Amino acid sequence: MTRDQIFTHVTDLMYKLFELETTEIKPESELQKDLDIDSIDAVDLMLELKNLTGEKVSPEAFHEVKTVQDVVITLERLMQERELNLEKTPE
Amino acid sequence: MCKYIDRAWRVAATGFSFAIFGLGGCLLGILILVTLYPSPFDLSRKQRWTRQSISVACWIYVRIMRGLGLLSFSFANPEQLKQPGQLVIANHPTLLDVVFLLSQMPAANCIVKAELWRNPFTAGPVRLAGYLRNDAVLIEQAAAKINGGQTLIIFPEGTRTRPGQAMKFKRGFANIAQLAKCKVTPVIIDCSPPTLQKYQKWYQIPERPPKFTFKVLAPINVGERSDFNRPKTIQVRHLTRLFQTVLQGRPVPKH
Repeated sequence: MTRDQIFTHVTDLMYKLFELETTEIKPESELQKDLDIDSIDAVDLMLELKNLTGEKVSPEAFHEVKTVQDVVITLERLMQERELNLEKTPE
Repeated sequence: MCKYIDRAWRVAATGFSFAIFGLGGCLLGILILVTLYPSPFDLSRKQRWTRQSISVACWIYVRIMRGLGLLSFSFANPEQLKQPGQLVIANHPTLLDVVFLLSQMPAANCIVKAELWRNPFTAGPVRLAGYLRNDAVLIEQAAAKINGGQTLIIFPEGTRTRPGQAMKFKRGFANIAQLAKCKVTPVIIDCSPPTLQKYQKWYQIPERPPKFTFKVLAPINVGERSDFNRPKTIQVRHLTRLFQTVLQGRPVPKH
């Protein structure tokens, strides 16, 4: 999945969960300040993102996250880590 | 001259009543600690008794303040506040709101600022009562308390109302209501002239003694108002908006 695809996935989810127009979600939008996403929402968002990363995203992974772009980069990293793990332990 | 004396008297009496609050808080904490806590009863019962003692203390305290001529108050439909297993939400114009609400509720639980856990005058009672801390509240924990029959007080603005600004609710209370599927009773608090607001000092007293009115509205059953097929986050946003409308004195929208 490319970074653009991840971004689209995240904006679709935010539309579904938070009634945000996809046009108002920009990579530099801050979750709390611009998009009114609180800490409870963030947990719900992480639960939904499980589908993308395959495993539960721990809250710690999102500790430093401030903008939508941060979410996308974090997800990309988690997905890469997952692929590496899968390569290491072939079944 | 008369006006000056009246004002001086009320500043002194306000200081006195703050001292009573601090002293009373300390004493109540110590009293509960030495009498109730060594008893063999289980913790939840001790916490309930503590909350009942706090309620009685608040009942007396607001009457002392009224007796000193510092304020007057009236409640519309206070019986509704005594119902168990509900969430009570209110706007938050002054420092005394919670004291008045607790005075009418036999054993209410509330979500309390973490600072009050460390404040020497309040630390005793708030810790022993089993109140919830605002920096460590779990939605599940709060909902379980309501479903277990406790009544929980929340000020959805999270801080005292800023006069002249539109109310902006945080969504924690709606998350709790959505999970507990409980009744939510809105209370509209009015204090006029305003006093003890955020960023006001205790001695900045109003021209004349304020009158507090508490309008307890009919409860709204969240279990019937929410569309549980939609994502939780959407339901919570709808509930937040609904109650924000209601607490600003507008009629309840029909779905």
